[in-house]
Amino acid sequence: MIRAVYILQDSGVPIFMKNFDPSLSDPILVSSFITAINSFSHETTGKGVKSIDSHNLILKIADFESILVVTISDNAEDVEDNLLDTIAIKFLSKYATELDDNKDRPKHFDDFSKELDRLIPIGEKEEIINPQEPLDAISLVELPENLRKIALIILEMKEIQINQLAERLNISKSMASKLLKELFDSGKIGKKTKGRQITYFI
Amino acid sequence: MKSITFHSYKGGTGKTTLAANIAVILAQAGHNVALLDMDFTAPSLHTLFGISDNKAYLNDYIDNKAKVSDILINVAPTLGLKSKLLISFSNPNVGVIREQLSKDRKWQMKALSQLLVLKKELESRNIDYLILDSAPGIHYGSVNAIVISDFTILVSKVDNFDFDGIVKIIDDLYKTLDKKTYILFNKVVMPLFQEPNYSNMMQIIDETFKDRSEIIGFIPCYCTVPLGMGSEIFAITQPELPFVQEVKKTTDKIKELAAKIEKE
Repeated sequence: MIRAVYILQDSGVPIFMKNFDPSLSDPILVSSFITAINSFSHETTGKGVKSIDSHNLILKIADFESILVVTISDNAEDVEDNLLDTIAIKFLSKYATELDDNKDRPKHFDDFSKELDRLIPIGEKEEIINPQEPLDAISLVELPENLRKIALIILEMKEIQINQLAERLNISKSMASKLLKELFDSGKIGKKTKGRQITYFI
Repeated sequence: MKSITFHSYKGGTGKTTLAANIAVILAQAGHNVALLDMDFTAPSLHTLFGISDNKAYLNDYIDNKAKVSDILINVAPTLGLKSKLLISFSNPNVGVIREQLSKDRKWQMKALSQLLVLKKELESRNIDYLILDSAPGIHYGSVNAIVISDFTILVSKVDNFDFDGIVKIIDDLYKTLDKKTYILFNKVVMPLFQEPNYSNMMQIIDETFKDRSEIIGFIPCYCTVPLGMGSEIFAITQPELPFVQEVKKTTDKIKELAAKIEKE
């Protein structure tokens, strides 16, 4: 699953950032790290870094002289071989002039987001909204009785989908969806959306 | 599987001694029992059972550092019990206890989640009774134990400190969690069983608790219990003691309540 796409200027300044997973580290920090390690690699080996395996995340990097394209994904195979090239070609062909004109005053090319959505199918991206507070015993005391029961099931399973809850409690999917949404709205559980699939988690 | 938490407002009510003896009596009667030391900040079950060479503790399971099979010790063969008595102890190391005190809400949520998984695992191992010996008062450890159990036995002494505290935790915690709670008076001094003390005591108890909770027994204060120095389980070593006979009666009552709650 692809979690983020960054495009950095050759100076290391990020000019486009798309985070599909808000729990990822600050993109600026990630950009600085990539630029530093890429420069180091250039100096020591004469070539840039192609990938970094860090804490179960794979960073793939492609150096196109004026820009660096970076993807962050769960697995190496989540990113097809030509995806970084395609992103770079689309980006450079769209903004070549602007990139030259604004070399000293980098700008953000946020409107590339639409282009990127066409390149990465929706099913591959995951939107994550983390819980606002932990679902601990004190949180349970604050919940109405009907949601407390649901909360205990999620605590036991760590994450749950609507059909799983419906099956476990022998209730309709629409009722399960309503209860999970209520619990999510209380800020005590998070939500992951991938395509049409919604998973609630603690 | 029926799950029961032994809780109290203050320490020193005899909660751990009762939980351990009741667990043993249930195992002697042919029930498979699991007993968890949920008092992470003042563990004591290991002293009572004389266990010092633990492979792993309940804390390790919560931290995902140990498997269920590593934290459960079956003491039945050593104690000559009819059925299984699986015990999971809490780590008594001072460094671990100090670390425990600084755990944040996220860790407490993980602890609750892991305990629910452990409960399910024990159920699949054909455990009939899960007994949780919780910390006194309102702490995360005790609230977690209350949340995962079917009902709670509040162990109390007959004094106003405990009465006031119990009223508070029933009203503020148990009612909110919609948990069934029963009160067991322990260490009741003998003169309180004589008139007019007895009638006075019963009147105060009735006025204080009649709309709050059911009283399931009065266990007299026996001087033989402290003579065990906290390292003797009388249900094994001296089963003929009047204290053990009283605990057996309480165990029967608890079995009745568990069966009733299961039907509901």
